Amino acid sequence: MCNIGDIILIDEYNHGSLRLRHHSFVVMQDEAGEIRGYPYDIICNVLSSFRDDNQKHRKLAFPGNFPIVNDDTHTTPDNGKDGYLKTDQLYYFKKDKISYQIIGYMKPDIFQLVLEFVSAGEFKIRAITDNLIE
Amino acid sequence: MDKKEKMRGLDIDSLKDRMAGTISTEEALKDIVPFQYSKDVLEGKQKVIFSAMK
Repeated sequence: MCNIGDIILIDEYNHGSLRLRHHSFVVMQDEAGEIRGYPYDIICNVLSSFRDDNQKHRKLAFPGNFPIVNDDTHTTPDNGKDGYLKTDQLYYFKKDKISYQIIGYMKPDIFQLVLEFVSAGEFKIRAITDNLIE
Repeated sequence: MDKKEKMRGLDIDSLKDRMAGTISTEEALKDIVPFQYSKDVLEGKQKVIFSAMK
C-alpha cells in the first residue's frame, strides 16, 4: 500500500499495445476519484534523471520541473542520480491495474516544498489517464 | 522531519483552472530518462530518499 510522498517503481503497465517498464513516480495524492468516467486511486508525478549537463540545464529551465537529488544511502551524494520531478503532468493510476513496488520516499519537508511549488506556479498541467483504460 | 504521519497531498481541486487537457503516456515519457536504482534498492534492502537540489 503506497502513501503520499512515496516513490514507487512501476514494473509494468500497458500503454496501448506497448508494455512500459521501470519508471519511477512520486505519489502526489492517494484519494480515490473519477476522471472522465474512469476510477483512479492514486495520482503521481514522474521522476526523471538527467542524461547529461546540457539536458540538466534545459530541463530545469522548464517552469514545471522541480529539481531533486537522490540521497540513496547506498551511493555517494554525487553519483549522477540527480533529477527532477515533472510536476506539470499528473498520471492517474488505479493500483490494481499496475504492478509496482515502493522503493523509497520524498522527505516530508521537501514534499511540502513541491506542493508549494505547484501551487504557486503558473504553468499549465496535463492529465494522463490512458493507464485507466482497459 | 520523519515520515511517520500521513502527509497532505496535492490539492487537485485548486488546480482545475490550470488543467490543459490530456496527453498520452507515450508522449509524456518520450524524453524521460529512468533512474538506474541499485540492486539493493530494487530488492528492498535500501530505500531511496529524495531531497532538494542545492
